Amino acid sequence: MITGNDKLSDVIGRNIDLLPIIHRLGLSTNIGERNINEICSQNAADVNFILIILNTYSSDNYFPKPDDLELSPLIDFLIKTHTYHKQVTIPRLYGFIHQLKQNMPNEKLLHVIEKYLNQYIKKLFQHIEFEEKDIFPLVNKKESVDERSVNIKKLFRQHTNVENEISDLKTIIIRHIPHNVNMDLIHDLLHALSHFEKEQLDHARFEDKILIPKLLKLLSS
Amino acid sequence: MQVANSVIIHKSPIIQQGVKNILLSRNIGINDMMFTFPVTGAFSNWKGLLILADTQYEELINKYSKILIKNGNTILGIALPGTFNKLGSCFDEVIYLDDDIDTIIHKISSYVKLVSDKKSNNQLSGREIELLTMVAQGFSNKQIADMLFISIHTVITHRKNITSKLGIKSISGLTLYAALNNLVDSRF
Repeated sequence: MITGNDKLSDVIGRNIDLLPIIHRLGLSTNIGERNINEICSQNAADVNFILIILNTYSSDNYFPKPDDLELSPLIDFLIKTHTYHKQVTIPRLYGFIHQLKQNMPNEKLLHVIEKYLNQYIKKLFQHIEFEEKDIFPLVNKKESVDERSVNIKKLFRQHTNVENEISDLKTIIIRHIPHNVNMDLIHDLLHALSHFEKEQLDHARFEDKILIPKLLKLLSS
Repeated sequence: MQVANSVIIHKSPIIQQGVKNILLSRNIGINDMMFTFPVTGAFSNWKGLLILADTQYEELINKYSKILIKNGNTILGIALPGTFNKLGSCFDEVIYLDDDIDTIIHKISSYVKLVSDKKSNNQLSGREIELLTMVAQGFSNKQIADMLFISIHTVITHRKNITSKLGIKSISGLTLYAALNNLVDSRF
């Protein structure tokens, strides 16, 4: 478990995938030898919130109590995560596919996985829009309980689909790796997909285990 | 893994090794038998194999083609560029020595699927392929049950088996798999 006394550089060293998350939290520069308490204090960041985020992304078994967390910084972080996927992760995936297509313009696998990814991204953007328009504003709205609970069920269902589709895509690519393909690019693509999948799973777990219980508690109060 | 066992009948060790490497690069299983000249007595024991033979042995293979075909073998010819026409021959398909690798794989892969379907427990059954095609075309479990005159329960069992055999859970993933295996239009 990560605590405020841990050096941030050590935490990143143990799990390099935390770096983009720390960047989203606004703490990625001037890290030096400082521990998390010192860095949060220097950046006027809420150390409790930062530790909850870092521990959630570091361990599948870590679940904070809903009472420990403020909703508005959480939603701000989730929106930044959406932006990160739109601006960084997804263009990176397309970059690898386009490079592969330049090398093998007639390879059927590349054309169909691009179409698959297009469909997946379209659904993901709809999901992001649904969260940002229908779910996140619930924090500040006074709506009927029924409407809210229906929306939340929809959020759960969409997360299940998101989890399986990237995993299926990886399975299919691995089974159909074309002859004479640039193996380094395929490896980069699979690596980027694995990273994307892990981020999606953590993001969904974050919302299912933290955001939704917190919202449900808000509804019942 | 595709498990069509293969036999290569060719004098040239360069071509034997080249064909073997191309098959292995696509995970197509291959027997260790490498014949420099066909041993006719062995033909009747061959079952469900992918046979790749120099077309200059056509006359001999033609003599045994009935038993070879009856035993579920697929016979592909290997020929010098522009020297052989498969029409009227015993060869299901002919690979020319100036074909590029993608063309060779394309020619072989449609036959490998036929052989492997019969041999591996992890391959989908005919009924499962039929169901997978319908799932990929966007039909619901209820629609599939009605069209195939089976219960929804049976449809769900088939779908569980398909997912378990392929390791693919989502409908999008199954559709992609079906497109790559030419079960549905790849424009899906």
